[in-house]
Amino acid sequence: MKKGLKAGARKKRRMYLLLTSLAVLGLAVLLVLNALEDSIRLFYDPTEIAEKGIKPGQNFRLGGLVADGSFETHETDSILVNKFIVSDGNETVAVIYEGLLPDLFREGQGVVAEGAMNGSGVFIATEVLAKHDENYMPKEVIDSLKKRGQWQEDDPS
Amino acid sequence: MHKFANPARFMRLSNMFLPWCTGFTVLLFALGLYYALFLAPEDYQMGNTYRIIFIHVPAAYMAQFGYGVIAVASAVGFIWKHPLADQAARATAPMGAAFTALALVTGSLWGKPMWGTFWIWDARLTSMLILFFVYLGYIAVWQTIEDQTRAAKIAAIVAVVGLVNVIIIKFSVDWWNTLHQPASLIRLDGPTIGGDMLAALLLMIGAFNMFFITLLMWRIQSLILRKRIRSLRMQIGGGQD
Amino acid sequence: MAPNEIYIVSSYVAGAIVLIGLAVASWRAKKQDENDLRELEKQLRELSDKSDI
Repeated sequence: MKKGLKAGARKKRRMYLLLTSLAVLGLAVLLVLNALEDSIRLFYDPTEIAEKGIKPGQNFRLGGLVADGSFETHETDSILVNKFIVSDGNETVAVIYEGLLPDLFREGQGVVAEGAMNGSGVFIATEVLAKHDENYMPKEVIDSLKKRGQWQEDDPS
Repeated sequence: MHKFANPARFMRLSNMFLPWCTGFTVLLFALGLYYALFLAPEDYQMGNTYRIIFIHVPAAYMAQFGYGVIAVASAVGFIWKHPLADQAARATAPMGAAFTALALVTGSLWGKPMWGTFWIWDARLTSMLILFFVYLGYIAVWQTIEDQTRAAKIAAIVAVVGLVNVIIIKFSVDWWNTLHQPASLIRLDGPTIGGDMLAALLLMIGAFNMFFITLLMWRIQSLILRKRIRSLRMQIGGGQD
Repeated sequence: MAPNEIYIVSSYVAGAIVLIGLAVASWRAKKQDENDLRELEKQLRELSDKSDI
């Protein structure tokens, strides 16, 4: 009887040990992650760029939606030059990128571009990645929605 | 608690369940693959390439499910000192590592055509890679420490430490901006995927899950048998080895 | 989207390799352990038979 009680107390102690160590560890990690917030984030949106006043030539990643009707592309000396505007619904940044764009790149969709601002406030991208949203939809559904005029391209909101 | 965790009882029960689990796994895979490759329609933006998610999402889910199993079993083993729980945790680890690797590889194969890159150090991808290393570390503890009781104790601590990372994986896409998209399936306002696409995804997740449970039973049986083999060898050898 | 087929096929192949690899390894280990145990039990029975004589 006495022995059983002792074993029970030990079990309880081990449980508390596990729970407190998990709590302490979780808190520590939370604090570290909070401190590292700036380097964990993958990109900055145009509003943050406007607020931060990033210097020209400083390398960073820009993220946002490709503004509707802003995308144009032309070939000069067999190099594809793409121009588009990245928007977050508040501020916008003009982007120039030379090279092939990923399949999912299109107006109204998210992009993450790496590069730097030039002297005149245009973002010169060295790499452009498309960001997929979380929606999956059958092609047929979209086609019929378009036919009935009920489909709207994603608005940047 | 101990009644159910008795090894002999586990052998009996698992032998009873195993044929059903195996059959169910095969059935779910057949159905899931048929849905994933034939019934589910093309996506409006990604065409057929989105079908990678029918492998990628279940693999990533099993990577985390496996970790959940390890964490719970380790906690039970640590607190109640139950050897079967430790064995269950140990048997899960290689499968968890394999599914994590599969999730990383299929994610890469998705990333190249869709995003334009095989890899990016965003929070989701990085935390998933860390999970892979946590699994490897966990396996290494069992491999390198010979005293099984001591190995179980240290492995349990590693498992609990790694639990923090699993929580980070789940919320990484909400807490920070990442290239990886937010959750489509488990979200407050319901899934953002529907119809046969959703059915295919759920069937494949079910198939992977059943597969995992079936194999886990085999592997725990294996560990129980090995324990018995060790004690029989001692009897025969008369303590010679 | 034809050039993307390589990525779809590769991911399904990778999935098959992992699933089949895990299943075969786990199954064979279990069978091996069952055999070892049976062998040992046979040895043990023979030993006890001998000591009976």
